[in-house]
Amino acid sequence: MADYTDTATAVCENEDRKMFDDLVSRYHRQIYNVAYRMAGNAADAEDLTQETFVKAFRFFHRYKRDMPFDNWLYRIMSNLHVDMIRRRPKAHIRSLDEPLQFQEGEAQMEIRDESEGPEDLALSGELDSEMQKVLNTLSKDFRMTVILSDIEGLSYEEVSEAMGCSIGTVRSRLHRGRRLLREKLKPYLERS
Amino acid sequence: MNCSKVQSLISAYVDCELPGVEMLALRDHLRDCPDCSAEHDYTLKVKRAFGGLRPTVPPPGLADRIISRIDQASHASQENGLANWRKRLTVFPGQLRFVAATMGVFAMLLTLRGGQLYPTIPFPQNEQVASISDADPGRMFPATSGVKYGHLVMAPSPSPIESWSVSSRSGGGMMPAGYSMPR
Ligand SMILES: [Zn+2]
Repeated sequence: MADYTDTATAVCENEDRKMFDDLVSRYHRQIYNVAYRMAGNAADAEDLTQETFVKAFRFFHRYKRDMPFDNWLYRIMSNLHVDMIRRRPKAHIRSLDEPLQFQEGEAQMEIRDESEGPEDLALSGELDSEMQKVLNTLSKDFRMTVILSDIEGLSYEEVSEAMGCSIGTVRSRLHRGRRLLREKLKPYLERS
Repeated sequence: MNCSKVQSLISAYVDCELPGVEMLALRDHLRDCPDCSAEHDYTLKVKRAFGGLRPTVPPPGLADRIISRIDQASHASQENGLANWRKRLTVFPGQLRFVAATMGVFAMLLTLRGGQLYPTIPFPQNEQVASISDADPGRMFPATSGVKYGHLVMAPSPSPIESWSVSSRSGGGMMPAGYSMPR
């Protein structure tokens, strides 16, 4: 009798699996970046990234190929209960004040722009962590909308598709979200 | 367009997500209105500040950890599949046992009955039996008590009767070849 691994179903599953592993290597950085901005720390960002991909794999058969794969992943992520993931106990919770420590620090230092002086580095690091803190104060939907639009550069239509809401909702969330952010970031923005 | 209307649209304006007519109207208003222009500058700064954030670099080995999580998840779903099958098979263990027991008893009865009946099948003398023996000699044989011909019973396989000797002249019976009727 033929082994299961020789059946057509198994071959298809195997092909899907290979394709999916390729997609993981291609998209995990981008997804991690969004997860990091959503979660606010590295440990939760990793959990959120993993959950997103595991769920995507489970529902891969439902993925419609006319939607960009990253947008589909954003959609899955926006449906995950980020706040629950954030509440899980972690072995090593990293402080929001040091967002760059867990991220291949040395490699990142090497590829930094040489023209940037130490003051600029300190300022950009400070601004980064300040912006992250402010992002964390937004509600989950507002946060995701700002991240997808301003950090990932998605159009309103793409954000609405990824978040399962109307374009009008995207527009109003961005309008109100940016106002909230602006108030909190005022001292930093006035310096720049 | 008044200032409050303009300020409600500034966020979409900086994203170029307004219809052309509104984009032009806002542009004209912003050129002449310092308040709305300041509002516009702040909004643009917020947008650019977030757009200018460095991408966070994932911790080393993240892709491998994701792939092994997927391995675990797909392994677990296969295990679940097996468990579901086992569960289905044990949904009615009582009934299954009853059915098995009944079948066992039935098979035993058939064997006993067949074994006893074979050698002692009396056959009606000088009667035509072709209708029975022609039907399916390998599978049927006539039974006895009270019934003259008919009463067909499934042969207790797995020892199919290979051939039958039918003799209406000798006044004998119908029996497997090579079998001698006890006198
Ligand atoms: Zn105005």
